[in-house]
Amino acid sequence: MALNMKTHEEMFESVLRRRDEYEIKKYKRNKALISAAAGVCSLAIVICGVTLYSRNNAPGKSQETAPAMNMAEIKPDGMYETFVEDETKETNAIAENYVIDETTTQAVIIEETTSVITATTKPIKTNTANAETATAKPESADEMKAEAGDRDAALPYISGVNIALKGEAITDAELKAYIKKNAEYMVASVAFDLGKGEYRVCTKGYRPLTVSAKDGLFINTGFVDCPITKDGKIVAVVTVYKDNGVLYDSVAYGGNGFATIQRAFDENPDEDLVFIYVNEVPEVIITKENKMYFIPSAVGFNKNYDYYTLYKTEANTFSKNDLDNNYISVTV
Amino acid sequence: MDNGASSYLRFLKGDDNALAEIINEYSDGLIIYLNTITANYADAQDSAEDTFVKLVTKKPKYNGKATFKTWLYTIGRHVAVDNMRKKYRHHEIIGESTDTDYINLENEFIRDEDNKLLHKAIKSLSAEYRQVLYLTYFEGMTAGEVSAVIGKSSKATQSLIFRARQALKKQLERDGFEYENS
Repeated sequence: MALNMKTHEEMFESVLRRRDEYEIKKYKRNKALISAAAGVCSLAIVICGVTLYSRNNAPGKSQETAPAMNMAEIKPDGMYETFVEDETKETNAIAENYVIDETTTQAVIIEETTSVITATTKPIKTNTANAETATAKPESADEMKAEAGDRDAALPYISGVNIALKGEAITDAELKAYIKKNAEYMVASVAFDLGKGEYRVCTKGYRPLTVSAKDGLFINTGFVDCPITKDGKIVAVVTVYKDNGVLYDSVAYGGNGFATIQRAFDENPDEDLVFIYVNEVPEVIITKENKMYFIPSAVGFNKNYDYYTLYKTEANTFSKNDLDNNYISVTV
Repeated sequence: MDNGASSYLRFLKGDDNALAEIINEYSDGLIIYLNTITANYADAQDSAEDTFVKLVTKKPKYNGKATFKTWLYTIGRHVAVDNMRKKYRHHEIIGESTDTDYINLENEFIRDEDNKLLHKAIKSLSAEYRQVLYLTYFEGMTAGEVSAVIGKSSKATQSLIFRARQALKKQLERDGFEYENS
């Protein structure tokens, strides 16, 4: 057996050489793995893209769910020439515009932050709804659900269905008594951040109508939103709610949305405004002229639909007069 | 912290000279120990080198619970056993080390004449006995350290050392070795 006895130095050199070879192999292996992973990711992205494209262009689907189009693309149709953005337009950066083509008309979706969009077209439909029932209309809830699909941001026009009343109802008397008793505590939490002064807690509130393509229309009568003002401006909203017969409150302040509510009141001082939630999250204030105030961001709506009349109920209607004439004053 | 541990930490921090110190200090003993497993000097040397390569590439953590030598020999034993398995799979014949280089290494490492006789007697025993006796008599390890290196429980190791000593005694008697107290 012929052997080459390695000296310590030779073994040391050999070990270092093999270490270098190992490092090179490791580098190449990692590089190959990264390349493979990148390839898999790219393929996955392509598959996702193709799947989405296929879904949006499936034979059974109409143009309603067509991919996003730029607003400029539909302008020549003249379908939304009556859409006018108010003076706040310049301060509100439009993030994305796209169009949903519905059966007879088009809805424009404009995503922006705390913006106002007006639709002054005369309504072609005059549906009515109250807290108990809604007049039957040609469009079924199922059709609207189908139209709205999973687009949570869109404002569905759901007619012909009853408005469900949920929750433990809070009466106006209960609300007024509760606020009278707890106004100081409510104001104290707000004043801690917003400073001293005279605060007015509105003793009358509104119960927004939730409009959901999936769940239909409902009002949670156990929740009431009451604005709190300071120096004539809305600075907070206290939500009074009832649970097992006991009233509680939660004060929200500091958000940009209060300025939008204030603007809605300032610009429509003599009008009843309709408050709705779209799928419970975005809050929309609708004027009699179907002018929309969005909190926090705009959702799509059909300029030819009379949302105001359809969604107006006693519970979700509130006006500047209500704000100015029903309050408890607290000075801190 | 023993010198080996100190050198290894320096190596982990990027000092390649520390690796040279480790090889200088431990490679001969490691080769002879691994030879008790492989019964082949070339394999023992390869396994020793593989052990050092494992140190520099995988950079295993030395936690200081055993001496650095014990820890290193434990790694070495695993490497040697792995290499043996690979060789057996490839039907390679393993023979006893007869190379003069190895004999020279043994002579260099085991200078005392009585120890040379002892080592010769040990080499005639089974691989398991060779391991524990070499570690006990030539590396000066305690039963606990030996158990750590060979991967057996302390009780099993003590029993193994006892049986190995009995076997060694018989072998020495066969070789005509005389005990001082006999």
